[in-house]
Amino acid sequence: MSTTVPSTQQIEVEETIKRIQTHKGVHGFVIVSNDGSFVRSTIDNSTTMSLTGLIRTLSDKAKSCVRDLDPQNDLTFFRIRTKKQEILVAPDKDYLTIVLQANEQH
Amino acid sequence: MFKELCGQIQADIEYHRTEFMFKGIFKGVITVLAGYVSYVAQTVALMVGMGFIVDEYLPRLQPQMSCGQNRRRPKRSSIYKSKLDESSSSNTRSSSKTTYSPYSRRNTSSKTSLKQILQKNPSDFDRFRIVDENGNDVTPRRIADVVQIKIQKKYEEETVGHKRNTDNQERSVSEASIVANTNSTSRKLPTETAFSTEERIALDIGTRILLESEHLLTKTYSNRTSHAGVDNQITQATFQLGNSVITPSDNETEYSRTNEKNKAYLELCKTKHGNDLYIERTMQTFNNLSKQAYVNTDALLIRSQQSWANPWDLHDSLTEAKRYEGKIYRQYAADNNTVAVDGYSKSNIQKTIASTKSSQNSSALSSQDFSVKMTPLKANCFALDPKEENPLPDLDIQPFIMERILNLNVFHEKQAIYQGLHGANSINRESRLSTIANDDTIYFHRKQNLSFMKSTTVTIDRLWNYASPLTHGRNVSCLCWNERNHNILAVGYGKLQYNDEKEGLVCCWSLKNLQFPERYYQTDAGVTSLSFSLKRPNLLAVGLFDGNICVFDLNQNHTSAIVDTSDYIHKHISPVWQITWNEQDRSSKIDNMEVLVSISSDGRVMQWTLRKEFEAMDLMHLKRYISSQQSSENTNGMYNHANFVGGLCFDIRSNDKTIYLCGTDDGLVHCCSTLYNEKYLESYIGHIGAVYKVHWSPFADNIFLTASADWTIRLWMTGHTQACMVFSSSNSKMFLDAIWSPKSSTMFCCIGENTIEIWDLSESILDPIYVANCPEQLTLTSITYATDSDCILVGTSDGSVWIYHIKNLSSNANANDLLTIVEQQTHNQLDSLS
Repeated sequence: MSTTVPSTQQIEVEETIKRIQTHKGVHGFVIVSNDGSFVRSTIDNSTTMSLTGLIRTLSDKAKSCVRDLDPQNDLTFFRIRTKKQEILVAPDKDYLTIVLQANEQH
Repeated sequence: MFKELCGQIQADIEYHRTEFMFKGIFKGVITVLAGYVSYVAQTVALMVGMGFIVDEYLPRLQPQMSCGQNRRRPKRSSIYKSKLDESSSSNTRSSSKTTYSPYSRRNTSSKTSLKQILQKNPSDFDRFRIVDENGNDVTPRRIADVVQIKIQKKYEEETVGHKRNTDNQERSVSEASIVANTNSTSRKLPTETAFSTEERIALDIGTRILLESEHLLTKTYSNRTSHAGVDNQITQATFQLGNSVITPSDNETEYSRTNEKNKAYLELCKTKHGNDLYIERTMQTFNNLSKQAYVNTDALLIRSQQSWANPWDLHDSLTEAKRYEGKIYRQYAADNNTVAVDGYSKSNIQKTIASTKSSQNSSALSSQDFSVKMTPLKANCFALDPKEENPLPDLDIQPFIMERILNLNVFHEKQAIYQGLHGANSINRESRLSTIANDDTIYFHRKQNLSFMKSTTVTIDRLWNYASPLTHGRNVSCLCWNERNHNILAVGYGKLQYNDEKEGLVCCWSLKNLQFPERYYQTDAGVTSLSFSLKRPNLLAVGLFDGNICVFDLNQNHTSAIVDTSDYIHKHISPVWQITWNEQDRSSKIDNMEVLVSISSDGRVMQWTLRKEFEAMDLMHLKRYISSQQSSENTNGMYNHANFVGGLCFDIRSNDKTIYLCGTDDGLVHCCSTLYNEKYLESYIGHIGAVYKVHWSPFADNIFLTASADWTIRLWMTGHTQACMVFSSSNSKMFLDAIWSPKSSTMFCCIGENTIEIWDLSESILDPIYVANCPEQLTLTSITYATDSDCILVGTSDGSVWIYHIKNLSSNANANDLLTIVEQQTHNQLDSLS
């Protein structure tokens, strides 16, 4: 099990994650670590695996692109808006956070 | 012998033959084994025999090895030839051999010059020395060396005369022994000829010529230098060029000893030729049979690898190298905080799809833990004074960013409106209205369309509201924007009337996250006023219902105030209704120190300075206004507590920080100065009820607005104790706040109990130009303008802060417009009075 006394930061993170999951339009939420193991997922396993594999390569490419232009810059966030949904990706040094949100039907 | 052994083994086998099961095989095995053993034994014997032979001769071989250094030395005399016929004492084989270090090659001669040293080495040339039983030196030498030794010997003889006899004796004993006598260490001058008669016989002509010439050379040298420091020469350490050998300084005993040994060895060499002990033998070395062996290695695995060296990769490597400075390059940073996250199992995740906005589903987040008071420090959430860069554990930023982005997604349109980018909004106007209508809230929107409007030019649209379960049910008491970071709004929650909740909350909301505050602090009592510091925007001063003032630092991870006044003796004992940071621009000692000014129901206006703790000084004691008639009746001018009247609000003049206005409980507004704490500068009478808010006009310097409980809003001008204009509305009751519009000088907004009214004096001074109603259960308690946009924020009594966008704001009046209007009014009034 995790640490016996989680720090307040972790609690906050947990709460934020909960809020994200219950946000309007969100129907998928995945946190993947760098080695491919899932930390969180609200999607079924096979979809998660394929999603993370593809997103990871894209994220690396995007990050490489950003940093090639300026090595001191870094990629914080990117979005892929598709017809059916919107994929929000927040890459990080150790983790990758992916949120699937339904498109706002305006 | 071995065959016997084999036979015996065989016999035994035969004997035990019947006892073995595998007779035939066993017999065969044994014979093979026996044969092998015999073969091994023979070879061993052979080897041993050889070894014996080899061993016998090996030691003798060693001393005849010539070393490289020996070769490099100049020619020495060798006694080998001359010793062919020698017999006598030193014939025994050397039983001991000693090897001498280069120490032995010391300079024993009397000569000091380098040339001499090179020419003629010290007598003990050898790297090694062979000494026989008697201690005689029997090392083999060359002829030249031997002769030189003899020459040295001659030196020694000549300097020490008394030892000569012994030398001669010895010499006679060992006939042609040149180096027989090494005992003498004294110097002797060379004789006329280096050789004795015996030597002349022994040596051939050639060598003799060589040596004699050498001798003559050395003789001439010695003649020159013989008198100079003879005794010191022996002890000099010398460097020999080309040999790079340091000959250490010797002492007499060592020298003599080695000399002896050298001589003994020479003797041995001399006598070796004809000696019985020495047999010349040849030897054959075995040529080992060579055999070719092959080795098979595994095939080399070849794998090609390529990698990209991106510019950022290089940059990263460089920064890492600089940071670690030669330590092992870490590929991945260990992240401790992720351990906790891993522990959560998937079963804990509840898949809920919110159909409505999550802010209205308080049940969904019922598990929220209120014991956690603090949001983590996020360096990028506030663009406040970036005190320090906190390297957060990696996972922390991502959820918050994600949340913000999600919020932006959902509220994208509204954010655009807020920012003033309403061009994009006009396209989707229809759908947006429908989405708003679909909410299951019954708030403003629909009523807005139905409410009575004076003109349709100015309307307000609700954008969003700040609410979360954390704030649910609390009364919003005050709103305050951050000066530096215009995205941050501080909201104080606390009852304005009698506080039965007994605790308050301060939330800092951000424009980017509409669903959860960035920071929230719990306070002991209801919050009644808030203020952000101007100079240090991370400080938030909070006035509480119980009279305390707290200051929170938003940058730090504290859940409590960094300082508060609970320990202060002269603190307020009644609710602090308003609190403001004021900059003292008259720099007395500390320039531009910021002070807190607070006003409270106990009738004091206090100024607090924030050093280590709060220090306060009273700016003003609000005394009950006594008209001129009453004052004459009062004999004593001392204060009574009954004389104090509660202050509810104040406002500091923008251009002159020392003048401020106070609104009191009894309806009076006083203009005071920080310099005098006894008297008012001016008093403004007019209101019947308590004055809740007073605000200077941002455009005109001497006009201010008051909102009061007597259902009126009055506009005043300094210099006139009577109100210039009185506003009231038929819809509203108490006016809790009235604020000037920052954009237009003639507009102001006010909130009644459940209405928002927008007034524009240029249009009408009797009625508001826009009125918005809300349902009965909500009370609007506070209002403020947004800093960057045409929005107003309204706080409600259920914990929400609504943001409304004012559209069609067309009027951009300036100060003059207001002044003209006001003056017009005053003239009208005067006219009407007169």
